[in-house]
Amino acid sequence: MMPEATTALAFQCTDCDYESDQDFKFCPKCGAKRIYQEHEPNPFKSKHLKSLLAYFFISMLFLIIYKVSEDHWIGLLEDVILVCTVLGVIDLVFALYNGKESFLFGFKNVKIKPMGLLLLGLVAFAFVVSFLADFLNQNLSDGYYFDAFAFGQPLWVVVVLQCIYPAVFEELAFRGFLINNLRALSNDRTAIGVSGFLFAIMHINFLGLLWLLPIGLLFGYLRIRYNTLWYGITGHFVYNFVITLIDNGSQF
Amino acid sequence: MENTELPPEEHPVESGTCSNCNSPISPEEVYCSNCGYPENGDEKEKDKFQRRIDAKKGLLKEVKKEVKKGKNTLIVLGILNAIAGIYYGFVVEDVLTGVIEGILGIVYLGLSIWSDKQPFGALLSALILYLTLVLLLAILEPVTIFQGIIWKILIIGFLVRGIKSGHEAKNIYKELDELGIKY
Repeated sequence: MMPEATTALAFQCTDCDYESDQDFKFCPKCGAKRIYQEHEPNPFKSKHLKSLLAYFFISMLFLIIYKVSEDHWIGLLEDVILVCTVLGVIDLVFALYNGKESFLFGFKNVKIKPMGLLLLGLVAFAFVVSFLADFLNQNLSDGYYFDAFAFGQPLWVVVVLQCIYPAVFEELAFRGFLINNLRALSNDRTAIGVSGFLFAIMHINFLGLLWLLPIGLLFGYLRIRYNTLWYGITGHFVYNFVITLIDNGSQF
Repeated sequence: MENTELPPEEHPVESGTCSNCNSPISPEEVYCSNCGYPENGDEKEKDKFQRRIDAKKGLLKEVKKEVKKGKNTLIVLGILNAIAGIYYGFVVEDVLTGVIEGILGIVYLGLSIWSDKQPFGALLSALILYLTLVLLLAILEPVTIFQGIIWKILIIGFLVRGIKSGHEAKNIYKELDELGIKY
């Protein structure tokens, strides 16, 4: 704690007795740098990168074990509910650990025009992706991309698990605390790029990288530009909902 | 804009400018308050300032070498995956594996290009992708974790050092910028 001296001027040198009423970066008397921004030389020792890697690999390990299991753990639908619950809890724990800056639920910067453009674009993109995925599946393998769980389920179950859940929790993770961690380590471009890339590979769908990466980058950019999660959440919901309707619409 | 202002070198002496960063400095100030250059100091102090900059530039050169190694690792990974993609796609005629390998090849090469601009972000992304693939294969077939383990350690080592160096490079650029040295 600095003792408050009535005669002290606003800006003091940290090394010598120089003081001034004007701000300075280097002390004019002794040359010492005044504002000490201690750079952590090893990023792997920073809590931001540790938290990012821990979140990614804990979630990833769980997802991979789920994806490579040949038998159901409980049942088709029960497994999806279990996976969503476990991943949701992991998301929440890391979001809380990273502080309230993860929960960017402010509506201040939500504007009709960019939101409308975003949603229109995503609906069109969903049709393109759906067409492309169908084409790739038919030409490459049977059922590589096709997600069978939605078949025969009521609409609200599919909407909750495939549209609302990912929209809220994936956005909270990738556009919430992960992008904040990356910003603290580096700059905005790196934060957008890496969070979008991690979002794409977390889906463990190599063909999907083609459309997941651009979506991840777009949501990251909107999060940085408008400082709210709502563009990502709404966009993610609408995109997944349109894909669901195209793939499974006939059963509802 | 009319050219009524005096150019910096014609400023009156009592409000001189720093010869390192051109910000105003008064004669009673030994060091420039903007960049720390000992404008009104003696030769010894000026020499010390120069050595500080030279040391940072030397460090930057070392760090850039490590980033380059990381970038080269990505190029090698990209080319190997692309070759594997062509092999699987056209020789074995396992098109799905071929396409996946091909996409991975493109991703690694894309990251190597991005590493020129953002080495920290690009190499971090590549490391996480690489570890994810190792993890995925290890869970599918545990024995794969020991296959080519020396290569795996080398690749991870180059990427980790590249990430550290990319991070460090940014700090050095920032410090050089504060010292009034432009790149």
